[in-house]
Amino acid sequence: MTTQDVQGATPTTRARHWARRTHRVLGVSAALFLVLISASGLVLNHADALGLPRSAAGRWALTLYGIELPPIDSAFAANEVLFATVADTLYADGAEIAKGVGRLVGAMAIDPVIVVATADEFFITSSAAELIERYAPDAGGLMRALGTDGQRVFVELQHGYAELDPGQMSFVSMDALPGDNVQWSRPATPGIEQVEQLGAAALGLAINWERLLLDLHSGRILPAAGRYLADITALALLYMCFSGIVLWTRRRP
Amino acid sequence: MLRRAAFALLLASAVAIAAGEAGRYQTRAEFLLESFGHENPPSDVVWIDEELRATAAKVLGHAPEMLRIRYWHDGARTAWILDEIGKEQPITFGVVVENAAIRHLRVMQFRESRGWEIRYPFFTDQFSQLRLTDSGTLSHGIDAISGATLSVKAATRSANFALVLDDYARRTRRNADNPR
Repeated sequence: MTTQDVQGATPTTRARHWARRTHRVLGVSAALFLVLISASGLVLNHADALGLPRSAAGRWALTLYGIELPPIDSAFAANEVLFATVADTLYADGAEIAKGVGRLVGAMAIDPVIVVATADEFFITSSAAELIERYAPDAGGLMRALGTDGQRVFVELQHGYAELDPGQMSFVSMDALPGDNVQWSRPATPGIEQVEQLGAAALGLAINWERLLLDLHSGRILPAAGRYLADITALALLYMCFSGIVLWTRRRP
Repeated sequence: MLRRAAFALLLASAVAIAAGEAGRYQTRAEFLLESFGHENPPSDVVWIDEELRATAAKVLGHAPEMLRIRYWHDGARTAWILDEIGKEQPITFGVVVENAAIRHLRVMQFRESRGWEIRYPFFTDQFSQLRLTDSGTLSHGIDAISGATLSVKAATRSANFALVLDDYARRTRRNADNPR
């Protein structure tokens, strides 16, 4: 039926013609969104089985959501392992080893362990950076620096010094160091890759695949426009349902 | 009169909030002094082997974050300082076990903004004399505190794990004292 035919037709015929036409146009337009919604809904239905909530979506997803990497509070290297604190969490080469941790004051390899110190705690790790023990000495003041003479571990306190035995975790205060050959741990400057690795580890599952697919499914992955687009698609689908039923029931024999 | 009453109410609220906030409530020295009567009881460590790792995973719901756990002992009494995450931050608990039963539990440090009510005796007293059942759980249930559910669960897990560790340490020491 051409447009000229429609102009001369009855109102019912005209309505049927427009219903058929809009049904076709909306059907094609909504097809892409239908595929997207169907596919994402199908995957979301099995999100737990697929491990989506436990799978980070990656750096690009953080950029998409406008999330910046958190800053590194402190970093020291020992035995070629980078120890760093980000958002009160201690990482060794990007792997989380303890939470509720203050700023580091040093890290030292004392064979066969590595000693890492904050102002009020020690972390003893294996040479592979597995956490052996976490220990908070009653130092009577904050620790400022960590050093070694090659065999023993020393800390500089607010008033004086102390020696730590990492095996027994004994902590002996002293007024002065026993010698002048103590090397103090110095802060490390992480490389760009390490900064990204630590930031991603600190953000962890902030954006996981389940969250990403849910937002894609609902249209929230885009700003306000995404929600309106999802609304329009939903309305178009509703219209197609009704127009489809009407066209089906009123078709000619 | 009304103004004075309002001021007194405000002051009382401020004192109540200040008294209940997160922080460090007890140092290790204070905990050991309370538990043993002196600050320097002998200490030892329990290394987390496969058996303990499996038990810890069952009791705590996760593997211990450390390879060894330090404890202090004197006769039949052992004291354990354990960190367990409530919601996001670790809570430091001190648990004293004597003759396979908990003598007392203390919240030594609380780092989160909610749930610090578990530090008070009305809650911690519930752990006194609790033992391990044959199935490895606590011999009695612990009453929850509204708004501090995760902290209560962390305390319960720590108490349970301290009993497991005490049992393991006693068995290890007995085997070392009486080698076959």
